This record gives sequence, C-alpha cells and structure tokens, in this order.
Amino acid sequence: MTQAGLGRLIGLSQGRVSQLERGGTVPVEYATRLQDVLELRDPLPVSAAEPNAPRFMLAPADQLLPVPLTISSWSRPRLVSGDFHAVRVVGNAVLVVAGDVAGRGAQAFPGASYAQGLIQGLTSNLGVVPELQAFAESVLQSCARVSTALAAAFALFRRSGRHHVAVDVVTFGYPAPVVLHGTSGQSALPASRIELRSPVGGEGAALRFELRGGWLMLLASDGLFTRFGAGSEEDGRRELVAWQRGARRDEPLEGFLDRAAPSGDDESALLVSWRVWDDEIEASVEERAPRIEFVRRVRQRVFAVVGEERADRFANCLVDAIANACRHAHEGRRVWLRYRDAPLRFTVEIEDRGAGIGRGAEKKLAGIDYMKQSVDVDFRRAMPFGTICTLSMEKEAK
Amino acid sequence: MTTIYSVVEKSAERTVVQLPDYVDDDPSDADEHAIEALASTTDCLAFDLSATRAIPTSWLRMMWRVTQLAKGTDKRIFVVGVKPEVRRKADLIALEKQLHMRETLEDAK
Repeated sequence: MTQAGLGRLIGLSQGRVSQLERGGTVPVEYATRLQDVLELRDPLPVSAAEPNAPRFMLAPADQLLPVPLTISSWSRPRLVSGDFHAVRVVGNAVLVVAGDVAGRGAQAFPGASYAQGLIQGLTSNLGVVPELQAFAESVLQSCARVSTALAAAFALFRRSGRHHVAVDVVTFGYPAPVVLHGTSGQSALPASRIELRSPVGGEGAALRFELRGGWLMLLASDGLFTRFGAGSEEDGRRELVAWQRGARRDEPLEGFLDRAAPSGDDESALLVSWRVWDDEIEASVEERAPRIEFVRRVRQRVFAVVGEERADRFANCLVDAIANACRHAHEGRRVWLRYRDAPLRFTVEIEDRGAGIGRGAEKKLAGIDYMKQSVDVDFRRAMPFGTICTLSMEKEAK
Repeated sequence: MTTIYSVVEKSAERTVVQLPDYVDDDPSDADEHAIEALASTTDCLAFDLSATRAIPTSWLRMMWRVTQLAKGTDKRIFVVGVKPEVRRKADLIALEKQLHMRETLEDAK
C-alpha cells in the first residue's frame, strides 16, 4: 500500500492525499492521525472498513494467549517519531519488536509505519514460530529496499514451563534489553550471547534468556536509557538495576526518568512483564474465611514438599504478615495474597493499601524477628501506595 | 466479625478457650476484654492450641498479658497443646518461659 493509500484509509482529506500522491512532504496531521489509529485511541473511519484493509494495531495483552504477558509502552516525545513497537502472536510464541527508523520526528514516521506494517504482514496468520535471526534480517533488508534505515530489537517469548519463559532476542543497531526479576529485584544475564553482523551493515547480537518466576524486560532506545542515568546508556542501565533492587521498584518507570533533560527524538521504551502466581486472592480485612483458606492451601502445598516442620514455619510467618497487612489496610480494607511454587523456592506476597512502610519502620512490625529468623523477608512499596511483604523459603533446607 | 476462638468449657473451676488450626489476624480489643472477663470468673483459664498450626505473634502477646494480669492471684493461666513451631515462635519472641505451657488439658489441672 502506498503512503497516499494509507492516508486515504485513515480518512485524510482528498487534498492531503493528493499531496502525498505528488510525493510532497508528509504533513504532521497525517502522522498524528496514523499514530492515533496505531495506538487504538481512535477507530478507523467506517468508510475504511474494507475486509482486506490492513489494520495497524498492537495486539491487546489479554489476547496473547501463548504467554500471559503484560506489555506497556512509553515514549517521549509522545506524538511523532521514528520509534515504533509491534506485538504479534506467532504460533505458540509472542513476538515483540521495538524499533527506531533513522531520521527525526514526522520525517521518520512513515518509515516506522512501513516497518510496523511489514512486521504485521509477515506475521499475519503465521502458524509457526519463525527463525528469529532470519526474520529480523528479512525485515531489515525489506526496509532498506525502501530506503528505510531500521535499528530494532526482536524478542520472541515462549513458555517453556509453568513458571519458565525462554526469550530469544536479536538486536541490530538497538540496545540489548535489560531484564529484571520482579520479586528478588536482580538483573538477569543472558544465558548466551552471540555477536552478529547486520545484513545491511552494522553490528548486532543474538541473546537468549531463561526466565523464571516474575520478571520484567525493558526494551528501550539508547536515548531513553540515557535518561535514567547521568549521561550515558551504561549509566542508565546501572540506575535501572538499582531502581529495581530498591523498595520503590513497583513505581512506574516514568518516576525514575530524568525529566529535566531536553526532549530528544530517540526515546521510547517497551516494558514486557510476567507476574506469574499459582494462587492469588483479593480479600477483605473483615472476611476471614478466604484468607484462612489461602493459608491452608499454601501450607498444604509447602508441606507436600518440605514436610511438617518447615511448612508450619512458613505458615506461621504468613499469618504474621497477613495480620500486619490487615492491621494497616486502611484504604478499602482489602489485602492481596499471592503464592508461587517455583522450582527452588516458595514465595508469597502480602499487599496492603496502608500508609506504607518507612525506612526502619519494619522493625516495629509484629513478628518481624520471628519472620527474619525463619524465612527470607522483603518489604517494598506497593503502587499506588501501601506495602508489599514478600516471604520466601528455599525448598532445600539450609 | 465473629470471634475466632470458641469457649469449649466454662465453669468456676476451669474455662477452656480453644483456637482453630489457623489464625491470621490480631485479637481485637473486644476479644481481649472478653477473655479477661472469662479469666476473672474462673480459677483456671486454658488456651487450647492443640489444633493450632499457625497463629500471629499478637495472639501470643495477648495470652502473655492475660497471664500477667493473673500474677499475684490464685488464678492459673495455661497454654496447652502447643505445637513445636508455635513454641519456637514464642521462644523467639521471648515469651516461651513467660507463658505457662502444658502438653494437655489434663496436665493443666
């Protein structure tokens, strides 16, 4: 489809379409309108509802059945640039692409739209998982043929176990992703890394991650990484890891960005996360039975693996943590309880919407000494406010 | 909210307060006042934890406060049937020796 055809599809005036047909400069109106359609802020015009019309849309996260991922994006400036994201289901995997087309602002936007549409087209009705490096190379080569210089990271997520996701990443001219564990707050290093040469010139890399439990992956342009730190991409990466290790790690990414730096053209991020739990409930402080049933289920599962003594220890820590959460759960008088049985350890999270836990305040919590001498305990700030207490116990006795 | 404990025996000689297998919230002020009232009308108050696998620290502290109130009187306050992990918890919060623990209700006589 030509740029003019796309302009007609999204409802531009005939004058604007004619301008595009004559090869005129791209109007910002065109780019803005197309971005609205891409981000689902605005449906396509009814007149464009042709059965074979291409639809440039990001797949909603709840349709990503092969792997239950949560995907969100962030960009600055938000309106028009060469940054783009694509999320596609291919076979039993989820393909996520974060890319950046050379050029600035609205001038780069048609190229980004082309790349996004190309990925959509190549993956439509694709029943099998593509070989990632070959797929990435074909996208780069196709873009190069229409004079679109693309830098991108291609990530393929496949569920490899109950709590396991295998992620293959191929990058060409785009930063490698940062992977952070959701619960323990540690960065995950790739299991393997191979240096590549881009088919259109430049360098690339093929990485493989084996992720367990809860985690999040940040695919971001180098300009955005820079905004996290004090002036360099590497510095920004270090700051990100520090943020994720800290007690504020559930706060939105935006809160940690340096907003004072002038707005650039190369700033976008795609956050892919998976917070997998085997059992989770939202319970009222006033209603005891669902919480007790949760404790009973957790204790039974732990008991089946590690026996009575350690199962009772875990359950006794859990009831102290729940009692603390119920005591502090002001807003809505609700608590959230989550349990995961990972290969090496049991983990529970207890979340409340209380005033939150200040520095050193955990010392005052009832049962904290007992908990700390019995299991691994961590506290962090919940979002938008409150506290998340994490208890975990290794299956193998220390 | 209903009370989590049950009074399974009540007389001037002995009153038994039984707790369930799992307790996951603090004793309320009403719970504490009611148990103090029970203690005031009996010679022997026993907390029966024989079914209790997990209980918050706050309940053990409340039992200790009731025990302290009976100090210097003829009343006896016992905690019976305490499972090993609950006993360990009481030990770690320095209450094991403050609570008068007995294996069975018969031992608490």
